[in-house]
Amino acid sequence: MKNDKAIEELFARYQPDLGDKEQYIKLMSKKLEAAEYAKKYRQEQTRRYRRMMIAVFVAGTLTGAVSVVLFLLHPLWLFPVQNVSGSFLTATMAWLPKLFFLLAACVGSLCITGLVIQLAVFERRGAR
Amino acid sequence: MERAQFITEISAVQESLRRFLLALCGGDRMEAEDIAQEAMVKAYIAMDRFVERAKFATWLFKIAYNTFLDHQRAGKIHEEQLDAAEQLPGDAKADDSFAYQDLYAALGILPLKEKTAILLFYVSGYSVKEIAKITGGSQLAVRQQLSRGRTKLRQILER
Repeated sequence: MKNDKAIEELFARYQPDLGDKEQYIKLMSKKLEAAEYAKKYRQEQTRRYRRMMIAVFVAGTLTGAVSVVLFLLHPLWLFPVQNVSGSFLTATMAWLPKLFFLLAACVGSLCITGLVIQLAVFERRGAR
Repeated sequence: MERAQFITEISAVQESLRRFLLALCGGDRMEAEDIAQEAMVKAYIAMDRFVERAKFATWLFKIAYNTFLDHQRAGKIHEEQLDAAEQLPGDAKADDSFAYQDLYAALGILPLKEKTAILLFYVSGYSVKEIAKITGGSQLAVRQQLSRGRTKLRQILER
């Protein structure tokens, strides 16, 4: 117990000079002002990023939906080869719409997947 | 919380925090001030997520301690700080470092967790429960760290 008192006294004597308190607070105030500016800038960037993600989401959904609707409206486009006879070029031309819509559907799906991933990353970053 | 209110909260706790960090950094004033300022800025930025206003000081100490650990991991804090303190020019602050050289040397012998627990208990006046919150350990672990730290300090003082 005597030694514990010695430890307490050792730390009680520990009063290092920390300089002028008011000056320190003034300095901190300036630093916080700068931090606030940086925070606002970051928030603005985040807002812009969110808007961009929403635009990508809308574009992805629309492209996917249009592709599906067109497929449903023109089922023959699914199997154009059966109706095509003639040169390779004609056959390829007949395949183009199908390829285009397949590509559109892929891009649309990729956009949606990308958006979901970005949202997950964004949420995790925000939680930190 | 607005900046003015945050400054008021900071004013009440900054001396205790800086004293704790100075001892934790083994008297390296520049490093301690860097960590203190970084912790305060981090706290200010994360203020929106802070809800328990009554425990502001504990929260700030936790941020400061984690910032200290980050600095340590980044290799910014070295064991040769005491040597550096000895070589400081002869102004008041250097005299100050010299005055507490024995204390810093004694603390330097303790492992980090024991040193942190001892400093938070004796310098900042925190309870075991609060120290556990700040360091992220259990209360039992903090009690053990305090006990081991005290024993080692006693041995040093008896020499």
